[in-house]
Amino acid sequence: MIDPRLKLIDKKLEKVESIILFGSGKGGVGKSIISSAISYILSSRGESVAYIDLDFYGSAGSNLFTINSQIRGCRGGIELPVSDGVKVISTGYFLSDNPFPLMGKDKLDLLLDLFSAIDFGSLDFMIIDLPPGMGDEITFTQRMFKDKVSVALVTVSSEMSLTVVERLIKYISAERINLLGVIVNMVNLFRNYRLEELKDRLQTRILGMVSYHPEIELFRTIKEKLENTPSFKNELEEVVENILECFR
Amino acid sequence: MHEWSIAESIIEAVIQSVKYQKILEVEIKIGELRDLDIEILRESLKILSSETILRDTKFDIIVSKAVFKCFDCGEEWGMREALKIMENMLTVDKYVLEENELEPPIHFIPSLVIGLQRCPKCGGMDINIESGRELEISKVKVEE
Repeated sequence: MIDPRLKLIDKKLEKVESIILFGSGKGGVGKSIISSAISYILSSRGESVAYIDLDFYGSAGSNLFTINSQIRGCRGGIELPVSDGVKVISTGYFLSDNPFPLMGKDKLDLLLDLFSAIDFGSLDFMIIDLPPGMGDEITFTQRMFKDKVSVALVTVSSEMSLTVVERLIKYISAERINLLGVIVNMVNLFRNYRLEELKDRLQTRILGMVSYHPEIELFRTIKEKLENTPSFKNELEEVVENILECFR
Repeated sequence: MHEWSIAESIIEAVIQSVKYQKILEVEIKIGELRDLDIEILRESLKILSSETILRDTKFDIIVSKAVFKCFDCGEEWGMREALKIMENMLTVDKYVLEENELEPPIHFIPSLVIGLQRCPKCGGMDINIESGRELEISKVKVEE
């Protein structure tokens, strides 16, 4: 049995330069906000970027990037809609608030359907917002796109979250996936580590320490959150700079 | 016209799967849930293979019926009922615009159907797709 979707996926990702998976050990650490913010800032700097929301159960992509026109299909599949300069896709655009209960087999099928049905075109960066933990989404993406994949992890500085992220780092290094580093989020709400302390503990690069800015809750899209909260944007600009440094 | 890119990938995958043998017949299983136009797929296979080593190959397309089953009450239903349920849950802005026609998103991403079904008998959401999701090259017959 041959699955022609695998061939389609190879072709559709031909012109994608780099894929960055944004993962976390625990949920609720701000991974979607951070990964969408990085997508927006990269795009504002002139990079061609797609934000792919693979957090099917906790999908937030359709809130962070809103689209106002009908999604279009073409001979190559679905044309990625563009929101605030970023090409985006999220199951939330099709399912609204409907729950999406997926068993293992269904999820794998969805990943194959999704990546084989989208016309990604040329991209400098594909930013993938993963669900928390080590589920099918991380193994699927790293197996399918191995050579192009890097990982950035998001955590808060709570003991529980750091312990789980350490476990994730073990998996990433055992699989020889390129780990860009860790972004420590909401640093003002949890234990106040020094950067060097975290670097020693996690044995990897710290891409940034980001504070929790309650005012971002007043805005819906990631563009609005960033443009109305300059201190938040500045911290994320620094993270983007550190990420780009990894590719130079 | 998503069928064209599927046909293209089938042809490439078949060519890569054999070495030097002549390919006589290719069997393709397509689930009803894929919502593909089988005539367009057949036509695209014919046109796209005409310039390849598959120009004389016979393509057999087998379509399997979609069957949904509710884990809560055991109710089973087919594609026609599933489309009705989906239409009731989808607003127009959730459709995909393709060549001036609105296609349901499952035409491109069939697995989305799981989030667009409720059991027609009990309203449950614990639903299994028993059959009808296939997209596979199930047999490649080569000359001995």
